[in-house]
Amino acid sequence: MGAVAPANAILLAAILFGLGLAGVLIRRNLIFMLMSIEVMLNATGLAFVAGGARWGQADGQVMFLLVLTLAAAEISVGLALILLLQTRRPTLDSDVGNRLKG
Amino acid sequence: MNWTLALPEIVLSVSGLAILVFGVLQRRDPTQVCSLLTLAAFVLTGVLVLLAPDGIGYNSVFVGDDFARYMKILSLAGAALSLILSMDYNRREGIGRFEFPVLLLFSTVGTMVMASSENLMTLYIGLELQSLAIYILCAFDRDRLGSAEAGLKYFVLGSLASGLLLYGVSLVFGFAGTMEYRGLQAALSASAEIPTGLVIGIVFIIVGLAFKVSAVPFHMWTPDVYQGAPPPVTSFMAGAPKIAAFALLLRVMAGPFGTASHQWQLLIELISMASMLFGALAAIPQTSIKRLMAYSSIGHMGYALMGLAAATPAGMRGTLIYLAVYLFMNAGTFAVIVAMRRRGRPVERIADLAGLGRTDPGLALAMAIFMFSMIGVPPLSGFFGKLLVFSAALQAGLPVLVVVGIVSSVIGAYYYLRVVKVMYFDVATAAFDRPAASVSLVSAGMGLVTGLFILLLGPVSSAAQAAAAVLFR
Amino acid sequence: MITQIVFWFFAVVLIGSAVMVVSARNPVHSVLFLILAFFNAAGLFLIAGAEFLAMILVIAYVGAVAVLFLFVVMMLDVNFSQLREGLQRYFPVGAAVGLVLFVELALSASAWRIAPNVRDLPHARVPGASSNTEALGELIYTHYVFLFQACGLVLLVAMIGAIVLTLRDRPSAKRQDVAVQHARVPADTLQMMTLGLGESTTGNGGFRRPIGKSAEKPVSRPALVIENSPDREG
Repeated sequence: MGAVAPANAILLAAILFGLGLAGVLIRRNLIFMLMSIEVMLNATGLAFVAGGARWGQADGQVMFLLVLTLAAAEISVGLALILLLQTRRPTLDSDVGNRLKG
Repeated sequence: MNWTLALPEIVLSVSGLAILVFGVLQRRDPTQVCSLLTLAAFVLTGVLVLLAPDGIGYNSVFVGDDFARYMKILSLAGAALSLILSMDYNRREGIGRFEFPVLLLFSTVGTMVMASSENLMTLYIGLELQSLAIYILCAFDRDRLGSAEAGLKYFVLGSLASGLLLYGVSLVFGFAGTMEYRGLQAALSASAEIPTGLVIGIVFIIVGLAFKVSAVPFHMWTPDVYQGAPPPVTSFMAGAPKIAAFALLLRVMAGPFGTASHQWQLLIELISMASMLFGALAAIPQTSIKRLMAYSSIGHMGYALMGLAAATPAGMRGTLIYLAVYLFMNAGTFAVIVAMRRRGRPVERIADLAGLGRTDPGLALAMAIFMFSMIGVPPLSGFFGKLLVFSAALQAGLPVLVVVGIVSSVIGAYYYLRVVKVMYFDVATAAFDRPAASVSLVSAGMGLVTGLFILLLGPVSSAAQAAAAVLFR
Repeated sequence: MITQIVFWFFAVVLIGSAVMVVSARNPVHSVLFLILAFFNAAGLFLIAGAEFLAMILVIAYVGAVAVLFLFVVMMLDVNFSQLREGLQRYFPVGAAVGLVLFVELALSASAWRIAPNVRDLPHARVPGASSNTEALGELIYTHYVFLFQACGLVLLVAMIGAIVLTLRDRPSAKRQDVAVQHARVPADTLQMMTLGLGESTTGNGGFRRPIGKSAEKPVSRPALVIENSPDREG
């Protein structure tokens, strides 16, 4: 990343990814889980661009564009699912009201 | 650029678009017509897959070879069987809408793209296309709470898995400087020592793919999603996407990361053992046939991974044959599950099968064939699948794996035999509703394939041999 | 040197806002911090010479994804009682986010041209392209056209999915059907009656009453009776 060592950028991406992962695993509210997934994807995007800059390749940037598109598609489906479930079930807590157990 | 390489995918996608437009413009309910058109598109694509040329194209993101062909034919077959099952089920459940076959079709396009990936970018996009369509299909019975919940659960865990996989890809890219399989292979075999970051990346990719094939310890979504989703969707989920995820595992692990096999072999071995044992033990207390099938699929993925753990051409061939065998057994079993309806409502308890041997001998016979085949009783298809992976693992010097496999087969026999016992020896309850001709056709056809697999063994095994040879070029 | 400082500044704020996204109690705060995180990532992309990605990140993520999140949070009535309490509660958070964004915009504007050598890097594979955007366009529309099209399919699937999952045809919903409207003739809807002097309309059944029990054309038969006045006739 320019005058910045690529290792720093990779480290930054790792910290961000860890935060997002922790968010998905710790938070029980579905909206927060989705936002944490966004943070994770953002971190990978950063890692791709940093990798691309390190090797002088545009592939990293192309991949980031693809990830951006797919993340947007994924989130729209996720939010549609949340809306669908919300009309059936009053809570967004992913543990409450879980009927699929066995 | 040789664009005809991807002709099957292009034809399938374009016919998907055409079917979508047709369905939107129709005034009367177009579901049945769209389903039939989608089936026709699957058949046409299957023919094109067989005729497609070999080679690498599209700036080396896409490859056509024997391996891709084998996997594509399997996923097309799985998708077509699930579609046939869905036509009757959706109509009876009142969820028949023309978007169902279209989404199934696009998901199949995703599996085909995965099977043909020659670049980690292609891998990711194919995976997303396939999974996104399945999230929606799981929640397709949207007025039933279980279905919506299954969709959401699969979505959250599936996108988590995609995120892990993607992070692995970014690490691999960051440390190797390329995402092309051939470039990676060259980079890895050139360097004497593999950087730690790259190994972490490979592990993340394995974890993401293990999630998709529902191998232990990344299996927790499987029983809930299998139970909640409509059975035709479950039959699809258990078939084509797992085959495609296996295609990626085999291609990526044997190809670019093949030189690093000592780094990942142990991981795959552990996953395989844990899946086989967990699938066998956790299935014992189940009362729902759908959950039973979920745990059974976890176990079967363990057996299929055994061939990959061997990391030899014979092992890969075993895995490929196992996948084909599993696909047909699984589709047949789900045909029986779809046929389980009483007074217009689906039932799913194992106890509901009681007395099926007297009320519907044909269906009971088919189910018994699938159960015995899943145990691995000769001369049914499951036996050959297990035999080939076991022998490959023995040759590769993994006797522990084989012992665990045999032990878990014996444990698994208990619950498979219980289903047979319930069907033939328990007191009969009311008969099931008369199943539709399409459902009976699938169960009978898959029963024949499973029962007489010995006749098909020659062609399937030579195709698998050719496919496995490609991986070790 | 300034690049270093700017990088660390963005990185620290990015991590801080990511922590807030994950740990905030209020979903609206969380979305706001998500926006802040995206802006910071965009700033980092600017430093890396990926100005097109930086712009796209702001446009697509902040403009579409974050707004989508906000919509859903508002629709789902999460903590709605708190949300109604008004602007004052959110003003400090909003102002803080805004201030940091402003400072960053100023910083990135000054830091943009710091490292001219890295801006060549993304062009390495595409000779002849003069800018990062041009290089990316060249790659996406030629080399990676297969992936680009597959991405389009993913978006299509997402669109179908959102429609399939949430669109409902309510039978009670009132919709305009032009064909039915055109097919209406006066005989379907009007009933001519003659009322004598001093007779009340209620005595004859009133203005509103079902006419024509024929079930085959329920749409074109509203229950309205319009009678003409006997005075005007006579």
